[in-house]
Amino acid sequence: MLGHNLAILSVSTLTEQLRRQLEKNFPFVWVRGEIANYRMTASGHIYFALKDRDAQLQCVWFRGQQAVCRKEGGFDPLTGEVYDSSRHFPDFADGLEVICAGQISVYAVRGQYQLVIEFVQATGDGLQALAFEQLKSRLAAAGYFALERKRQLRVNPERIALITSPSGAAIHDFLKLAEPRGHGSRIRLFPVLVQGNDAAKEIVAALKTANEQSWADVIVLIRGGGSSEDLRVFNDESVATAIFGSQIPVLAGIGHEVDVTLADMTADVRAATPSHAASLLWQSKRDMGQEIDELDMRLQQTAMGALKDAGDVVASLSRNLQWFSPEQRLQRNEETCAILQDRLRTCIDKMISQGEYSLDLVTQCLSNRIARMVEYNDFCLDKIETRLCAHDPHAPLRRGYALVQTPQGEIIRSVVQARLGQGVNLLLEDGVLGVRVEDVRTA
Amino acid sequence: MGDAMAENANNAGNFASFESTLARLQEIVSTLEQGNVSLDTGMQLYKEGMVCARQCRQIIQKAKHEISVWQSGEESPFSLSTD
Repeated sequence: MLGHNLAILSVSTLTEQLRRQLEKNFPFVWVRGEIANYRMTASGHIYFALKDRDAQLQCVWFRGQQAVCRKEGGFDPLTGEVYDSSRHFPDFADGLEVICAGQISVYAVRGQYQLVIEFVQATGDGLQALAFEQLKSRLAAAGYFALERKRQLRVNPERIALITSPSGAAIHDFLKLAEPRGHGSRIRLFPVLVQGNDAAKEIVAALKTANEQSWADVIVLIRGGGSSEDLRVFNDESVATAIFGSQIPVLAGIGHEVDVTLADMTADVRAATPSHAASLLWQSKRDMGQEIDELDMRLQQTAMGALKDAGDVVASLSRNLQWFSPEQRLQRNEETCAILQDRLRTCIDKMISQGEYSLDLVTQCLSNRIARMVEYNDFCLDKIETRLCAHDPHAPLRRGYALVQTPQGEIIRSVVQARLGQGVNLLLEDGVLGVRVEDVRTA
Repeated sequence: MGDAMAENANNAGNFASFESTLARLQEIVSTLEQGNVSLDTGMQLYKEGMVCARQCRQIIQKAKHEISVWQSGEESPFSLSTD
């Protein structure tokens, strides 16, 4: 009908026509979807999108309408059901699945059609989420997730009980990662369904069997990624309880990193993915090789070190031994003799030279003394001689004096000694005069 | 069955010997590092340590995970390619 209308419309007119058509055709619809982009404005109106995998629908829940739902005794306009406010006014959050009822309309300003909500209720899934939260709290209270009860995994376990689907991607990933790791182990696969109605029962049975066998060092429970519905079994209470009760430590790697199930939380160790589980179990062969290399190196070093030390000791001892050898001793004695001899010679030399010196000194003294004595005697002699000369009776003769003697040789000193007539000798320098005394006079 | 058991025993022996061999190697190294052993003992330990290291390497080189499946109360070989 609109197609035949050739008149040119303004945007507003067209939008208004669309709005009327939509409101007429969808006066009251029920839509199920997951909340996304939830926001409440300051005015109190709530906006969000309802979405499923392929589409999304903008929704607005005006404040006035919310009041109807909030009010005690409100009721469903179609079924007459009286609202239970806790159920019909769920805690909104992105991801919550809800059923909304209302009219489809157009928000002209944006040219966008939207659902004007009259009331909202959580769907079964939403309730399930609620139930999940309750179960989680209950299990937490029962100590399922307590860190104190978590057991450490043995490094490089030898026996692994692997609980998973034999045909899933998980076992491929796990075994692929396992290959370059560990030093060989035995993996006993317990094939189970990992989704669907019987999955929980099978997983619980496998956990029970593995525990009864008491063979494995560790139980590994893995499953590849999937929707939350696919992973639901791992949120099953019976599975969590079986894990909680396991005597053998349990390693869980379920879904992707973001998926955390109750089984993950209850397990002793949680791996983010099945591959991660394998890497948690075993060291890589390369690392182990490195460890051995390192030990090997230390072994070499310490052993070589010990040998070298021992060698040093031997060398030092043999040096000592050589020191005490007879040959060395003889040589040492000879050396000592030589040294002593040298010293002796030095001493003697010293003594001799000292003696010589003393002798020289004494000789010198002696000769000095003698010289002095000679000199002195000379001097004395001279003196005596002089004195002698002075007393030479002949000395005055040279100056013209004469010496009178009796014929007997007696010196006449005084006139009284002479008598008249007496002959006397006059001694002159060059001879004797014989004279006679003829006169005697006293002076 | 007999073969499987022998193989198991062999494997178990291998596993045990890897763990204990590595532990023994570690023990030897720390004993030697403490340095209060006689040279004679030291050389013996050194030789033993070298053997341990070689054995560990061999075990790692040869190591493969053995996979079996437990079904209907029985253990049977398992291969991924069969699915």
